[in-house]
Amino acid sequence: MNKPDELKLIQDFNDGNEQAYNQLVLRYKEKIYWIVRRMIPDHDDADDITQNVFIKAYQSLHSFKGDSSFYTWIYRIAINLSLNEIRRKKFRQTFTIDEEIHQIQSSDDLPIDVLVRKERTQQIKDAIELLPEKQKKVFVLRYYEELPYEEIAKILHTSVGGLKANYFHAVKKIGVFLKNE
Amino acid sequence: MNKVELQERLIDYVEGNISLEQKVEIELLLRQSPRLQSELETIRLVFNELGNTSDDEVPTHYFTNFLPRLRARIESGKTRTPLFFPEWLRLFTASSVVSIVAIAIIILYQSFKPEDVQSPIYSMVNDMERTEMNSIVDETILFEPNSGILRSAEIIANDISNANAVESKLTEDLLVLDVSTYQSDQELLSDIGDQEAEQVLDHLNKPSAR
Repeated sequence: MNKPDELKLIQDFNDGNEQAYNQLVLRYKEKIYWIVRRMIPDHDDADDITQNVFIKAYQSLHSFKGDSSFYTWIYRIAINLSLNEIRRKKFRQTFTIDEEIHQIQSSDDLPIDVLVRKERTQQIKDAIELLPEKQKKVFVLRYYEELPYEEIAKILHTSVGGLKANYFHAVKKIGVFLKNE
Repeated sequence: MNKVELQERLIDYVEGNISLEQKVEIELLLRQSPRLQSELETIRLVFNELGNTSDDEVPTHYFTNFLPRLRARIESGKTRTPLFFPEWLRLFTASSVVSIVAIAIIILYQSFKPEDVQSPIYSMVNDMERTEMNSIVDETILFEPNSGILRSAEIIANDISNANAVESKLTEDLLVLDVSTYQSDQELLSDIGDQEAEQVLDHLNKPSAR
């Protein structure tokens, strides 16, 4: 969505058109959910925070000046609320045995392949979880959201050079973690 | 290209986000540096592993139901700040209301008259207070300064033979006090009792004393 389109929706919402807000939610709900989910492994927690992100946007859109794009603005809210939650709680993703069995049974792959992939996925999550906050958010936005460094710099209010360094160190740390596992 | 730039460029190299010229430069450096090769290997391992991971599970219809659930939460919580009623205006309004209420309470308090309360107990107390007040006022009038009491006392003290006018004890008291040394009625009244003062005043009011 281009910027004028976003601004029109925001203006409409500020003029009392609730449908404009709904449009923004429909367009960004998945992206926001996945940003949050990459940082907070539990679905229920991620869902709660995703809703909080949009509620925060609902409350604050009247103060949105349009200096940055809407997605930069709302990504920033998502990152900040996720980090707040991480600080509040120490997340350790846990799979129950029932969940594992259900996932294996519902897959077309061989059970051993599913288990191996699950194991790898869990290792990656553990490695990401151990990253320092700044490296973690840079990694999520760069790798999973595939955002250009320039956009990430706007979201996180930092320099492109610093972001590249953070991303490199994040990748390297994940690699070291995986080698040692 | 310094070390930091080279490290950052390695990721661009793996992602394929560099120019041909930069690619050639990095490959040349890689041939010369086993350490750089090790770092490249690590980066490739990570991206390879990331590519093989399975996506997290999301409940069915989660995204379909997201907006209705969000709207329900917004409506129930009334979480939206009114557009034309910003925070500063809300604070201003709240403080204004508090001020108005406080002023109204003060005005009501000041216009409230206890006499209006008609309870029997209050009336009784009020009557008692009025009686007491009248008594005090009377006494004040009786012994008010410059009423001539000092002058009368001097006459009594000087006219020691006037046994009919004053009682002998009063005359003696006044002689002991040496009233001629007093400068004002008030000064004398502070040294004699109420009874003596009344007697002195009685003498003052008698025709024979003037």
